[in-house]
Amino acid sequence: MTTEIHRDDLASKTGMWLFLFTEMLLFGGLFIVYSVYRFRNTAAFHLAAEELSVFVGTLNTILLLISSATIAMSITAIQKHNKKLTLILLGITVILGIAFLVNKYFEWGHHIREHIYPGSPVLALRGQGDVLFYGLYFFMTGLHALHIIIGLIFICVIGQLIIKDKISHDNFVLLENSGLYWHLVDLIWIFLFPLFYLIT
Amino acid sequence: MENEKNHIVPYSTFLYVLAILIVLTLVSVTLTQISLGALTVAAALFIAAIKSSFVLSIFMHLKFESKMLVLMVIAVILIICIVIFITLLDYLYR
Amino acid sequence: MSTERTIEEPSYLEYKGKYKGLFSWIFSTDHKRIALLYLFSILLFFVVGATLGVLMKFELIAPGKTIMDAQAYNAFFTLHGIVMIFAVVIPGLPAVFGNFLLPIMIGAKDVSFPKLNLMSWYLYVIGVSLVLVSQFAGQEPPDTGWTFYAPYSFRTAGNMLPAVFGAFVLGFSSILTGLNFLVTIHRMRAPGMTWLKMPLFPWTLYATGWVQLLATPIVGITLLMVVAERTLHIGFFDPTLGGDPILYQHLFWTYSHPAVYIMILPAMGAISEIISTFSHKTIFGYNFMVASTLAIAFVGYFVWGHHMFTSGMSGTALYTFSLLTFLVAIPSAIKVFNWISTMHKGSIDLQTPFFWSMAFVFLFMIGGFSGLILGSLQLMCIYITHILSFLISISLYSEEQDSPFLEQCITGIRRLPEKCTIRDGPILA
Repeated sequence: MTTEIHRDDLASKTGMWLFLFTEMLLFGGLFIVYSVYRFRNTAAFHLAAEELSVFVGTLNTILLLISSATIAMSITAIQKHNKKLTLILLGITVILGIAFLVNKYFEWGHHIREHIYPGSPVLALRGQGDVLFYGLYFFMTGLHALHIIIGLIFICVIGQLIIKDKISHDNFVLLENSGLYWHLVDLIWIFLFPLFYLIT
Repeated sequence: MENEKNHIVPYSTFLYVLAILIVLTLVSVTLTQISLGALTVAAALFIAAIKSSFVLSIFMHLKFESKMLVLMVIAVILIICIVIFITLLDYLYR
Repeated sequence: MSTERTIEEPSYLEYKGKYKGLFSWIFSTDHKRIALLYLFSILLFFVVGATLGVLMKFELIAPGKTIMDAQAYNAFFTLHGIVMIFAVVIPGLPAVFGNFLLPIMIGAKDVSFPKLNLMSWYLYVIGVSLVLVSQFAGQEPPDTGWTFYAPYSFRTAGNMLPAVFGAFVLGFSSILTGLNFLVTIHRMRAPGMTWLKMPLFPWTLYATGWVQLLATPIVGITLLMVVAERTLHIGFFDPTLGGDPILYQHLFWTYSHPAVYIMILPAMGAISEIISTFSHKTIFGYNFMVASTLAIAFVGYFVWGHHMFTSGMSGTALYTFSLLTFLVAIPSAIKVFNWISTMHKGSIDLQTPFFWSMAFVFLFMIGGFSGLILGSLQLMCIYITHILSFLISISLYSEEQDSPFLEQCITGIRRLPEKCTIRDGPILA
């Protein structure tokens, strides 16, 4: 029996997609909670959403969209044997991801300075609708930010592997999988953005 | 069963799609600034759905994948929608 | 198939890898070794759960305090539930028999991601350890029952966090097993084994894999929400913060009802194999068996509300869930008819496994018929309020009973792999 390592890129990609399904369902559960509480507290949700900065939200959306495009382009680059461009594009993706997190940090910091955070007495005084809205806001954007951090680490590891030529033009399924993960993070933000920022 | 040669998507496709996505984002922001009443959420979600279909099909390469995978993605999205719908059957009529 | 077996390969029991002794097991990525790892760890935790159950029964042997007070009883009750559900019945069939038999039955060398397979076992052990730790660490053991119902789960003084997080980790382990099976079935079937030539046990594992993959994240996020509610006081299900405890039940049962099918579907697949093997006939209505497996998994995903008939849902939701629940009866009945029809005019070999399978079918019919009674809304409400023991006896009968029944049944025929490859013949032909 030869000890040839069995490599099946399609299996690896299918596995990644199946994992993304679980992520979709994970956020799906939160979207169920969101839609139920929004239905029960429509007015409060609308008023609370007005306090979120549409500008920062839009900026973050665009940052994520660009980062998604760059990581998608990096796959084209590696297929065209262009290692340098691949790394540059991945670098841009990481920088944009960090920029997203920085924006998020200032956004959260702004809310917390105004004593709007889960469990704050100021928030409790504003009524149950606001408590629910901000609870969901912090939890969902927080979980999303956690996914961004995981995605960034994933991409950095992939970048290392590309530098070491472990990932190259004929073996780039890991890069594709990191891309898929990053796109999923983008996909979730595409829905989070209108649901939290644009329902005023 | 094997897909021998991977389809190489040209850079320009991604840039076009990116442009479309950014325009759609701005459209949904401006749409929601002018008051559409109850339609606001519907419009925003509709645009989000269009955007996600672009991300899924081009960025996530689904357009060039096997039919089985496409079918699975559609089925999963459908299942999420059905679960939300059934849960709301409780809350809408309580 | 038979030529495949003649290749000289050491048995997985004698296989010598990098390590020796215990390490050759816990660092092995061989699917058969992982299956046995699961088997013995599950048996261990089964003993733990069963001991707790016996102690609970001792407490109930006479009125008043016999051997433990009410609080200790609640703690035992909770731990018994968590261990038996999340650590025994759910991984029992897929992780043990699935891991062992699936690659063999579809003609693959191993599962698609052997390392992931081993990792899911480690996650399983970590998860159960967390659950067990919750009992001893902290002030008081958890006392919510295995369902962690809100709002009690974040108000009780019990040491909930390890228990809830342990259940979350166990869920993750279950997801990885399901994911592995799905990719294995998609990518590693032997050449020539098309979808509709696949044996029925892998088919049920396929359906189970989807259920594990798509249902478990929902309970995962729900448990995370409970954790967040306990630690960060984020309002999700707490009525004083505007939340709705019934929504917790919705989310919880969106997983925990499909979890029933994680327990029962592989059992059905194995029963199909056993009955057709010992009747010396191919299964009757193979296509319908496949379709009914998928239909049970699919419809079963949308019937969670029948666990909540008396919790105060809207009438529309009640009727919908009742209707959907009745729908599950159709594929279930197809299965029973086909099992019986397989035996018809077969040359039945009355061996022990066959008797166990008969008992399974019989029990499943009792469970199924009472399911029809329970599925109907009015009767369910009457029963739940007046004859609770009926409901409990049913669930014990059809779930807890069936699975150990089946496990004994399979252990009865230790040489099932050979049996399976024998019956692959006609199907592959």
